[in-house]
Amino acid sequence: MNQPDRTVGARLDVEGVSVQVAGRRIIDRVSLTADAEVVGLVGPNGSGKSTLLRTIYRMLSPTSGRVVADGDEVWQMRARDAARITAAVVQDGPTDLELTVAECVATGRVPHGRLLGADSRDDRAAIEHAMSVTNVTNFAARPVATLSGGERQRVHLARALAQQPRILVLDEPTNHLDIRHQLELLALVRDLRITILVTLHDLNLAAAYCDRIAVLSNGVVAADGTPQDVFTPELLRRVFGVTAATITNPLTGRTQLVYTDRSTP
Amino acid sequence: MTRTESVIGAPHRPRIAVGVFILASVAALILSVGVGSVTVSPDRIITVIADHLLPWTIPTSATDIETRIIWEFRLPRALLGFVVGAALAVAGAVLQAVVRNPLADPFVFGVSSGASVAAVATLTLATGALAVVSVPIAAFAGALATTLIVFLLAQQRGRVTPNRLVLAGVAMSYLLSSITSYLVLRASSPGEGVTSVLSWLSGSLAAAEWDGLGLPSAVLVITIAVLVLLARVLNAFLVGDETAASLGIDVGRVRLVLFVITSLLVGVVVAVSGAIGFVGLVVPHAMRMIVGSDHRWLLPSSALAGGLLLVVVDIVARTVLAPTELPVGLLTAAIGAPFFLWLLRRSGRSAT
Repeated sequence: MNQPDRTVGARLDVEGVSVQVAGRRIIDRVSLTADAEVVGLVGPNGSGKSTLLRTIYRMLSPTSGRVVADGDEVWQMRARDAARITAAVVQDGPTDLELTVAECVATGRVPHGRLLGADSRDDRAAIEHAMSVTNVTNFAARPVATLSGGERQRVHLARALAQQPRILVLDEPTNHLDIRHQLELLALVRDLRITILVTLHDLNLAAAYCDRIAVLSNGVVAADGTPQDVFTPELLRRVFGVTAATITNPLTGRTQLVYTDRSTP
Repeated sequence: MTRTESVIGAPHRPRIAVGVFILASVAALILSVGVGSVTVSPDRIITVIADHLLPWTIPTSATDIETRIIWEFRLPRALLGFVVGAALAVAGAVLQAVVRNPLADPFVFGVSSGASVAAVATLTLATGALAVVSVPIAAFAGALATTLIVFLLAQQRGRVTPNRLVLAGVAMSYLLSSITSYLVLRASSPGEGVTSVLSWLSGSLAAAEWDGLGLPSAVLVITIAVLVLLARVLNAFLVGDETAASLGIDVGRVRLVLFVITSLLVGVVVAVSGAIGFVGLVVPHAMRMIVGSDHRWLLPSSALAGGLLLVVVDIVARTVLAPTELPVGLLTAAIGAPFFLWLLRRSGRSAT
């Protein structure tokens, strides 16, 4: 099986991106970079995380600013070429999808597809590889609708990996998953060794699995750095409105947070 | 690799289904040509067809009158039934994917009501030869115009969402149906063309002739070829707009193109057959149960099954109350509605 060097991450630069919808500015001159690392994008509800991701996977074009993937401007390329660099796992997937797992994963080959004919050998290899990495091969023939939430999320990850991306963005991939499946999914994503930009609500998951954290607040970047540097009690109070303290996870040695809603601990 | 092929390659079931539908369609077409006021045996039918296509081969054993019945009336009618059924089923399958709504069919989007208004207006307002010639053209223009209006109505800030498309389509359907009813009422007092209006509205294949067969057949073949090439893109639409966009699909433009293609397809068949309902709604659902949702198999099998269904229903429509002929659209609704309800109950049970 030939896996080309697509498994190496490409550099993603978001340069001063603003999005305005109906006169309202959702994100304002956001800049961030991810280069062969896992970057967590966190922020309160409505801070513009999903909007920013949409400008990266070409769902929503920025009002101003540039998104650069692997040195080329995403919104200047053909959509298909952009989709060969960047894949996305999004939130809007229908739960009643009648396609089988294999058929769903195969849609990841759309940007690589020739117009005519069946799957090429590359297509098959990519689909098979994506399904085995995400451990969904066993239920390849089942309709996606019949899977559990954790299995379904792995199928969407497999579909994105079948795209053979060098940049992967994920919008709240751990939503609706139980704790074991949350940890398994993020471990899987971390081990992909491509550039990852992932939005997460759970700050402890972000601290545990991300190399760097970018914090969005009201559409602007409020902080950007390692989890230890970013997750300070001051920032958590200012951006999230909670009282927090950092501790070290005795199992992993990584920074973790404990919170309370009271203003004085 | 062999294991993977059995997992991600084409399974056997769709292939078998397509094979069975092809054989059944051929059988139904021969039966349709044979059955009627004069019964003609299959061997004579085949020799008459062979005689017309390849005149130097076997001489036909059929009488002149049989030859005329077969070649000038029943064969074009049977073929038209097949083409119309195939077109409606394919259009339904595509629309259901494009708006991710299982209730979508050409009629929900006002395509056929647009065709009906234009056709009825022509039938009741124009007179004589002008009316006869211009009904298909008017129906086609009405179908296309309605599609574009629905698409414009569904647009908001440059984006069209599936739900808004369905709502705009349903609203237009009601509006256009009321206009059609008004036109029929207005015309009914002097009795001008009301019978032809009613037969057009309930769908009929009685007017079939070779001349009217070429355009729908050509459009059907080209459309299916284009759609099969887009099969994986249609699959991606099922996964969601956001995912489709991330796969490099220009969701808005492709949705518009698919919409126009299907309304063209529906327009050309509705123009010659009138409004035949339920085929586009029911056949794709039945096919999903048999071959699955992958459009590479769903589209060809829907085309075959839709064609087969309409040929069979037309046989029933011609024979059950012979010599009186039932409008074929009336029968498809009578069969389609209960079948759809059965599907609904069945799928509800398996999904939850």
